[in-house]
Amino acid sequence: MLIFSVFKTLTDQTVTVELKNDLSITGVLKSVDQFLNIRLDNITVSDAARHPHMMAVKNCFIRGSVVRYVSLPAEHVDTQLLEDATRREAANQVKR
Amino acid sequence: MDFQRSFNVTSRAAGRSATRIAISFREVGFNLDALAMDPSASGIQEPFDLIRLSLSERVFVKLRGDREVTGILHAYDGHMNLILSDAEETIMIVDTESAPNGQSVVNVAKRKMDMLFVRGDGVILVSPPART
Repeated sequence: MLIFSVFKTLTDQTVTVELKNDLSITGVLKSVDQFLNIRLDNITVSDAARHPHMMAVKNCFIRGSVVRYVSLPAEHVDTQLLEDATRREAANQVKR
Repeated sequence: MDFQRSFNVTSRAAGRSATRIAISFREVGFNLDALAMDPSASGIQEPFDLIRLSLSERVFVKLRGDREVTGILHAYDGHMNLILSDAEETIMIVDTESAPNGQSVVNVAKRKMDMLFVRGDGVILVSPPART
């Protein structure tokens, strides 16, 4: 749930999603759900020559399970807040 | 308190046969060992605690597909999804084609990302920084 919240705060920011098939897509994060499925608008593919079939695609929905990395805009991530929230969630997990 | 309970067993057993006393001493000894190595004293009870104590420190993450990442850990969850800052990824590419007589050359590709989310299903291990 914690990572889901992080992505929710990053909506309307530009992110780069790297998939497990090495396709890298940069676009504006429009929405995210609990499975970390991601909807991107106004996308560009990093290595367009290797993935010509992606040229016409302007927005897309990415299934969460095929994501390897998401590169985030560091200036929009409050690292102190993240660490506190992570410790809080870890404490809740132990109680359960 | 386990130690207290064992101690009582010993004193009760003292009135009985010598063998019972010997067993009780062994019980006390066992519990003393358990007390000395009590992991809760250091705040580590489960594997995830090792990762929790690495928050805001540089960690080494081994991933599937011959990839490794080091970065400063800021968040994780139960899936081992991670958020790292100042991350450096290393990809090992083993090349068996170009090298002669069955030798293989490992090519290493590196790149840096200032804030990176790593999906948990690719994580093989997370190693905390080496303590000096």
